[in-house]
Amino acid sequence: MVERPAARTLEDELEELHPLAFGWALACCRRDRALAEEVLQNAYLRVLAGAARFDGRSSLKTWLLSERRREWMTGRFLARFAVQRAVPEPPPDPFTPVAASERAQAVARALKHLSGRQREILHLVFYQGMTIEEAADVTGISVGSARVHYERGKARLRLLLPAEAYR
Amino acid sequence: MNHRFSDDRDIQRSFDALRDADLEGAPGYRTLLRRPRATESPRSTIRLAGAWAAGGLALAAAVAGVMILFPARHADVPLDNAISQAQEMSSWSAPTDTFLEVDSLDSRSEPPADRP
Repeated sequence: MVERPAARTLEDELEELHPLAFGWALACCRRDRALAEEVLQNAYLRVLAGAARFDGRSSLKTWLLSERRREWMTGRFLARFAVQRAVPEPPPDPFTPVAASERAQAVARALKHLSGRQREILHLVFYQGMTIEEAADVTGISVGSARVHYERGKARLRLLLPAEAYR
Repeated sequence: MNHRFSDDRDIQRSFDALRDADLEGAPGYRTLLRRPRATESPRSTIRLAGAWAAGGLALAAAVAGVMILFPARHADVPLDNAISQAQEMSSWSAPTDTFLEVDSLDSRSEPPADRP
């Protein structure tokens, strides 16, 4: 077991990873920004207080995402109720041209129509820049399962994304 | 080993755009960490919901325990009254029983004879 880095060092590391951690929080909280900020703040405080310890078996980034995932799963649990109350959003129309500035919104809308696991795997690979093996490590599933979610998620995303979003 | 292929670049560009959009207006690390916690943490909310559920279960268990320990008693009926009630019930006959008596044959007690 590797000793946890000193608080100052850990805080620096957290700050460096903050942009990607915020993206992961958004993905886990189904794009609910307020909830993602709240959950991320709780996760940071928990890590800094030593409630979560880095064991050195994986990279700090992989560990942070998987460790905080527990915290974010709670947030996602609450977000699910908010999503159920909200009016369901229609999927994007593949034949509607999308301006380059709307590409992000298009992919965000499309991701909502994927399964939770597909969304997680695609986010970790394309957004966080992880390999499928690392994504499997973070989500706690086998590499084979992760690969299946990855391929099916991509196929579904291609159907949902407007063609203009690719340009 | 990276499993992304060249034909995934289209999806990659979409995610890059999403990442850029997410970072616009996102609170900085120190801002987020040091701001006051506006609401209760989701964890504490879950804990509160769990406490309510546990309280409800405890109340239900208490009610069930009282019902088992102190079952509702039926009104006690004296034995003599019960016997007399049973006798009355066995000797009771309906007012329409007389219609069943034809030619001094009581069809209630004597089955009709077979015709040759």
